[in-house]
Amino acid sequence: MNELVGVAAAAAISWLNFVVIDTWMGLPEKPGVRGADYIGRDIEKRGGDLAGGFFQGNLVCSPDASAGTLLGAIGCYLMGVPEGGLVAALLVFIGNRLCADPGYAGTLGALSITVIIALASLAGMSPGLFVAGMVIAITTIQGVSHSRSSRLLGAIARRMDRYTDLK
Amino acid sequence: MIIHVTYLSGYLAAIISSIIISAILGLPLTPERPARHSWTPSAIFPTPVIALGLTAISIKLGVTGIYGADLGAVAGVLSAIMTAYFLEDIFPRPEDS
Amino acid sequence: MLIQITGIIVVLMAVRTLLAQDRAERLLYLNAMSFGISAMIALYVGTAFGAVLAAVYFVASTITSNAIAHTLDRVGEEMVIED
Repeated sequence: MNELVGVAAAAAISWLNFVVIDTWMGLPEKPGVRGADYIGRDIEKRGGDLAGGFFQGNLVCSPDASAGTLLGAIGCYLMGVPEGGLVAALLVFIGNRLCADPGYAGTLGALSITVIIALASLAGMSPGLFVAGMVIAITTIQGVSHSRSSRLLGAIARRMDRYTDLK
Repeated sequence: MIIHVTYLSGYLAAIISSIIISAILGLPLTPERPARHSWTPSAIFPTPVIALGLTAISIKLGVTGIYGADLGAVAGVLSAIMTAYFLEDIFPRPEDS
Repeated sequence: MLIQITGIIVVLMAVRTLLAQDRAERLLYLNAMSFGISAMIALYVGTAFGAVLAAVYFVASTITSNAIAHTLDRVGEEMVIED
């Protein structure tokens, strides 16, 4: 029972980590590659928000803070803190450059989740909770209802002044 | 749950040496604004990330040196050289940016 | 227990992929599924090499999804000449 509460808390923290960093890094503003544009406009056709759709398209087509958070948590779980997070940041940077992305979002996500896991371990949460928590967090965005989650992401983008100018 | 604070000096040495050496080699200190869309390698982006990654890999493989400090300095130099001269060749920027 | 939670999510996402009709919608469910598989690789292998394996698998699956989405966009634009 304690572990379930821990996984839920880790899921909420990971959700905030990658959504805030990705929105700040401009993922809702424009599609990074052509495939992200396709996915974004398809989500808009199905009743969603365009900026949220670009966010989801960028999630699929290139590693971003969500990948950085997951791989940073995996690294910290298997290699200790902070080595695992730093190795994960390097691997995510290489993956970003392979997918035509400058690399800021992914590395920042990995480094920030490493700091968060180090602090959370002082409160007794093990890094494995963040691994499962990140999978739950990404499923709430991409696996439940694309139109609703894209509208939520669009509202967050508007609040952080990163809404898209494209139509 | 292990937080390895013994090698903190190594990580600090990696960050400092990578920033200083890359500034000496001519990389700009910060990328142009807005930073999130910029492809220019600078002294604070990818150089310290690569240096910290190399330091962490060698610590995990067992090569630690004096609390990681000399390791971090060498990794910083390597990372600065790699970013300044080879990054654009290994990972070319895409045409439409 | 972490492996069970992640495994349930993977199976659910796979079922939603099979039931969905729209191709872009399927890509999103598959992306969530590959997050789950990457986490399961790491949780199951349990050693430091498992982290490298999980990262390599994840980057490879992202490159694949990128290629698929790019091609879907190009296919949408092509015109078919009827003889």
